[in-house]
Amino acid sequence: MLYCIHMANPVLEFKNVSKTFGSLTAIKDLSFVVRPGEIYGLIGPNGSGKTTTLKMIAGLYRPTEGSVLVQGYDVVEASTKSKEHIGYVSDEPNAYDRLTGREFLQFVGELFGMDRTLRDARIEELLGEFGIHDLAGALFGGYSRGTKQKMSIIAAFLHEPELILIDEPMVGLDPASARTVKKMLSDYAKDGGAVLLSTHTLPIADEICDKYGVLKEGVLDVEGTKKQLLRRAKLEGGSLEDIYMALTATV
Amino acid sequence: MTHASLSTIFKYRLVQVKESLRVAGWAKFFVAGVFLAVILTVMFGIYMFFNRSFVYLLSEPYAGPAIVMYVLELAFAAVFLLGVVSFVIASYTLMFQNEEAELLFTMPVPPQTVFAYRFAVAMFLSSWPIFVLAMPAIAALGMTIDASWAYYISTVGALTLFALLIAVTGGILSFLFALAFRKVAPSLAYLAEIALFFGIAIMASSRVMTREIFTVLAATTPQGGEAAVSRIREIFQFAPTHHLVEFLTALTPGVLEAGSVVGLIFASAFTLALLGVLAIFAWRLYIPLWQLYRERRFIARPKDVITATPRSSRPFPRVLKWGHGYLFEKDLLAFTRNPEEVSRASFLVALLALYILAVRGLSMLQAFEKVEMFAAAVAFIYVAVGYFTLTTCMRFAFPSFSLEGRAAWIVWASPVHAHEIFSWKYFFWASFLFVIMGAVTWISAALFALPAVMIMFLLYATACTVLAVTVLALGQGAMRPNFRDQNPDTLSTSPSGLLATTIGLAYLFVVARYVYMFSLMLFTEAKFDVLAGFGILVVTLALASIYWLLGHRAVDRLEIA
Repeated sequence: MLYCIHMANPVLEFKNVSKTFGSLTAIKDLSFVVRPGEIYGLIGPNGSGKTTTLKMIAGLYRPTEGSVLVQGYDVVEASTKSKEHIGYVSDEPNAYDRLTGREFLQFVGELFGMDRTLRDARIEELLGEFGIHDLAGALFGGYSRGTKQKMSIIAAFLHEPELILIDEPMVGLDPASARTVKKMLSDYAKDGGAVLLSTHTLPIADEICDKYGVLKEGVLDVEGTKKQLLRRAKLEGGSLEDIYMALTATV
Repeated sequence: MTHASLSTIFKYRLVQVKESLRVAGWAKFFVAGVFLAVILTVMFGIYMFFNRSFVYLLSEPYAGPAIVMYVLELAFAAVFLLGVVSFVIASYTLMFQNEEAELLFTMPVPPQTVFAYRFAVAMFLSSWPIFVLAMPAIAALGMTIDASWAYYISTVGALTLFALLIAVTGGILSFLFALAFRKVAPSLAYLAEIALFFGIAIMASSRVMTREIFTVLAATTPQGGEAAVSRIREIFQFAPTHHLVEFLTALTPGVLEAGSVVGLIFASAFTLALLGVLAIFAWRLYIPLWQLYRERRFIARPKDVITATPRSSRPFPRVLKWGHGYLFEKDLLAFTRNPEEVSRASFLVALLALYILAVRGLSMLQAFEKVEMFAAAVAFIYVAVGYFTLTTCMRFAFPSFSLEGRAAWIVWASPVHAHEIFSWKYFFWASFLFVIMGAVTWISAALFALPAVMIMFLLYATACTVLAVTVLALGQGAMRPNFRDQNPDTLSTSPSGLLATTIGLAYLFVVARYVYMFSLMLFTEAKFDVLAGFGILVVTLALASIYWLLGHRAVDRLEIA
């Protein structure tokens, strides 16, 4: 499996990307790739640039320097083409408060130009995975944080993209739903999809990611599989949290 | 206790204002300055309109004073109606939905104090028609007849009394509505209230704007003039504003027939009686109704409580199934499910209806048959329709990018190109506005019995205005979006919104001038002023293309935090 991942063309490619906001450099010369079947965990302290990285891929921020390619399409030059391949879950699952959950999902299906029959069937299938059919007719603004998060995740998976960008996937989710999300992401990767996941919840990343990138002050300090990170941290074994603490203390 | 609490609240507010002024930067002062300048310009424009009209009307020795009296009666009645509607709307927010009132009720402040404080604020807010319409009219009359200082000093007192009359009437109505509709859904209550105000406006206009009155007003003898004045008194005797107008017209010796201060005393007594009724209502009903509101939300749901489940479960989009129509349908759905937005739009519709009633009255002034006046009336039709277009655009199209708010990431992370989003928003807003404003233009022109050519030209000017003003509002809105502020009113009065409004007003002024030129040539020489039509096209294309480019450039560079 790992061999296959290394051989496949990257779904996502960051080439010397920098992003500044006025005098603040949020991302500096960032380069990495995510290949099909890979779940890439982007970890790092608050303000390290994880969300900015995801937002650049989603087309919400423009890179100041360098290029970001999704399935070979530049996110600035060919933004619509690149976005067709992305499913994005924002760190704050805000949507339209006065649309029902189902209307919101149908709206997202329209944005991605889905066939309406297929769209509706897919919505029901995904709602079923979370067991929230009954809630889909209520207004989005009345949902709990967890239900909003579930709806956002369903919206990202709806058009069956090649790349899922997910910012803090488990915030607000109950244990059963968290388990569903983990299974969804793993199954998706097994089927050849690529995931870029940004999180503070290291046990979750430890459980599902194949590869990790540690961001610190906008710079990718360390990158690799868990084995590679263990070597780098000079540890015999341990959890991702142990590695993270060792690396952020020494880096 | 009540008085002490009230003064404490006002002192606290004063301290807040002083503090905001102290910390305000030049940008805030600039915005406030521009805002003030816009209001003063509007007031001055209305003053000039009345001044020119009064000068012209008073040159008619017999009919003139009667018509001036009639115009003032109409203006004051309109101000009264607008003010009362404003008070009712403001009072719901200020008295029942208000977070500050909620806080004050948890403190040892008497409810009467809370009511008095909120009443004073609502009274101030609902006084805008006095500033915008009544004050310029009174000042214009004073200047026209070269009135003494006593006139202006007396009018200040009379207008203060007028503001109080509006507020107490609005206050009583607010309580009556709250009582009557306490078991009814907010949307039904809104509809019932709007229907009631419309009914009153239509009934009043059918009483005071008839062909018979305009025939009487076309007096050509001294006896005819006197008959006209007494007929006007007869018609308006039941209007709550009648005695105030009598008092104000009595202060203009030598021009109008002298009235008496009895009118003012009567108006004061009437207002005080209403104030007494309101005080009883406030004493007995404010707390019970407020508590009931907290339990049942019968006036309107606060915006943070979203619990309703829409009845329809038909797949989205339901109507606009082609192209990117779903973008507009999503906005429409969100709009129709927001009682606050619906009430604001209803207010605009009410203003539009009042405008049509005013046009109906104006159209009867054809008895004067002076071509310049008629051409000015045609230009007025355009300005009114253009102003409504601008207001609607600034209130709804301008904030449409900002109002995507914290959900903006959904559309901007989708594969729909930013240019397409801009273009489709433009297409729908322009189409929607043209249907509405085109209809209003046609109705206004038909009321004036304008020739087909003039109607076509007005429709052409309206179409150009819709095209230019919509792209102006959308483009400026896209250039400076504010995704954190979700209040369309504060968004449209931001520096960016005020800039767009100023540019829009300048555009309306230029086009109105061309409309005037065209109609003048048509009515005097029976020729088409091709240059006027060409001029409108040039300014429209210039403004529209500039903002089309700026808007597209802005959405290209937009970043969603």
